[in-house]
Amino acid sequence: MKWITRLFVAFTVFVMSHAATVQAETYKLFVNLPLSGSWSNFGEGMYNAFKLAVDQGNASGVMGDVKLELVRGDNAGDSAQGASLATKAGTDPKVIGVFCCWTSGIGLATHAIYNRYGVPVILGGSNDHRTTRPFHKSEVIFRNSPYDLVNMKMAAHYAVSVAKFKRIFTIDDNSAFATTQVNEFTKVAKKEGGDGVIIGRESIVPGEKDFTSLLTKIKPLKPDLIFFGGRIVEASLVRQQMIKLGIDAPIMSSGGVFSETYIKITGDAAEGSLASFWGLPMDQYPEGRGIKFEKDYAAAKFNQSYESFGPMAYAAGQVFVQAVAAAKKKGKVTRAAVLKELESGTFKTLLGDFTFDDNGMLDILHIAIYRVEDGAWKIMYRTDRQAKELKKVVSK
Amino acid sequence: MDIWIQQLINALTIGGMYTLVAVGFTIFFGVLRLINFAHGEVFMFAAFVALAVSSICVAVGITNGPVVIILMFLFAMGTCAALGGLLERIAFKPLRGMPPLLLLVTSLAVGIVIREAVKEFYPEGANPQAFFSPYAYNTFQIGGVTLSYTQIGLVAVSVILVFCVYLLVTRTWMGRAMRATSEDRDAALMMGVDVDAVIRNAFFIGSALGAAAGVMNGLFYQSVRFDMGWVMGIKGFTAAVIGGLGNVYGAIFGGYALALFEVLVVALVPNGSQYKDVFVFMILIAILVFRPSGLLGTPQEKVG
Repeated sequence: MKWITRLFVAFTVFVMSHAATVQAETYKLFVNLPLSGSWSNFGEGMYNAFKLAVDQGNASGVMGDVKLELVRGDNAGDSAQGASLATKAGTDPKVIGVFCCWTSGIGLATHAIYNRYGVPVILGGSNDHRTTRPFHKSEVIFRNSPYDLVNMKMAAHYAVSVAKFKRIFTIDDNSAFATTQVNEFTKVAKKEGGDGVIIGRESIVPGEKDFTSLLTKIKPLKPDLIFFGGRIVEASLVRQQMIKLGIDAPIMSSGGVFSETYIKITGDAAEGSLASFWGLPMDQYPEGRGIKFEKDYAAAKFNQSYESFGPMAYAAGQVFVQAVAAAKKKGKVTRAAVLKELESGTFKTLLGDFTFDDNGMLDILHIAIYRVEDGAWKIMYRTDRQAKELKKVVSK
Repeated sequence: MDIWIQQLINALTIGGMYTLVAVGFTIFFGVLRLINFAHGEVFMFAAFVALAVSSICVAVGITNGPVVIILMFLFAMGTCAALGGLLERIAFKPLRGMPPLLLLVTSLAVGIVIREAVKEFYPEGANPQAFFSPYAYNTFQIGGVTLSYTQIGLVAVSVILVFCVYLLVTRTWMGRAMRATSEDRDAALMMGVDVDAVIRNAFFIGSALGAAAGVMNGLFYQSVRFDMGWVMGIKGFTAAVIGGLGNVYGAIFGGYALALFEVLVVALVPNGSQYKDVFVFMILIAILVFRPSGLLGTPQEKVG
């Protein structure tokens, strides 16, 4: 029996010493994104880009002997699953930050949960303004991109005052994200172009494939623009069926559609489609940071593209790394410490150098208007830092 | 006026697909008292088979439109007939004689397996996929009505297939055996009908028809996704119920009636496209409550 006892003691000592080295300050960042289901192309791209930033942070040593570990949470685009993951993140004491949501619905369903546990969150996507302070009271929520109020203001401004569309028909897909978008778009468009500029509105049901009867009804109204609040698959079907029915107008949409996948599945019919999006082409970001991200991402050999939300996800990762590094310098890394850093720090990211305002909104607002030309999204206009005006981008 | 003709054509196109799926539901119910919710997924699977066939064709240099489309139909219908037969053999046959509820739950499970398998194993299966449809934008105008060749082709194919089913059910020995089994399985067995073969054939035929609808769906809407089967399954089931489950003519009637009804709701009700499904399922509930044997079915005393 003696040798068993000895073995046991040796084993225990080994495990404890080993555990001690591993435990040398590892904290977790929880990722709560649609990694399966209809929107997994966006979710995977965001996860990879976020992971890249965190891996680079770990390797660089800026955080001292602190290491950040990712927890991969898949909400499948479903609010209930998103909420249960939020609770899981909140109850795990090792989690010091969350990168969440993509959909607006999940953003709305989870902010109060995060707030209860005091865990700092950066929203990736979740474009609905109600996911953000002051539209709710959850003080732990920050954004890495402007929300729909800003985005739709620029989209409607472009449509009515720059491109001078006169008869706009709006369609939404009945989701939180899309209905607010269309509401805001309509409000601004009417303000700038008079009530007559919006000639009608309908909602569709996501998952449905046939919109011919709806479009047949719209056709005699002779719209010169269809504004579509919604996501890739339905936008693509609407666009294709518009052309088949001979509706001679472009379709305009936003972040739910701005993606290579839209062009891929829509084919030639995608030509001329418009989108306003809260991100720039890689060569437009300051100091070549976008180009560097592109190279680093390619070098990391992920099996999926970073998609349209990847750059902002990368920036969110950079923010967390810098916040943790700053917290570590001042003392212990806790949720409260990270939260404090997010509130007060200046962050050097791919998107530019920015701080968060009192509502957790970043103070750098990139909105750009894109059009599909020759099978790719081409930037036409972009905003200044405060998103006050649109400037034409002269392509190189 | 033009608008109404256009809407009617829209309805005919959708109705053709609903009908082909509904016939499958009704045949399965007829011979097995099975509400086969895996049928929608077979429909989706067919679209992916066709997609794979078109990719292979393009890869080996066959780009002649009609040839590829015919190959897509043949392979998709063949594969899905085999898949239907396989499902019957491994999932439903062992449960024969069990309560219908067990069969229903099994069919749901089988459906999930097919759906998730396509998502996981088809390359980039979680993403929507562009579908090979060479004639999608070849349209012409008659008055104010816009028609595409694809649409005309699809309406024609669905009518031909439906007519073939009609002939099969009314004019052949196999059809008679199917009707007999549907009316009274025990009596059919006593009269020397090979019920096993009838059920097997029902699965071949129903699945192949659903497969045709899947390929048509891809050709018409030009994109397919792994989760497209569920909505179609529900719609096909609704169409079958409207016409009366177990009644092939009913399914044909139900498919076109459902499509026409949907189109009318969208066309006449303000913001109807949002509430379309609400109206459709209200009709479904009303029929289940007041005429559970469907609009064309004769009220039955006993079921099963």
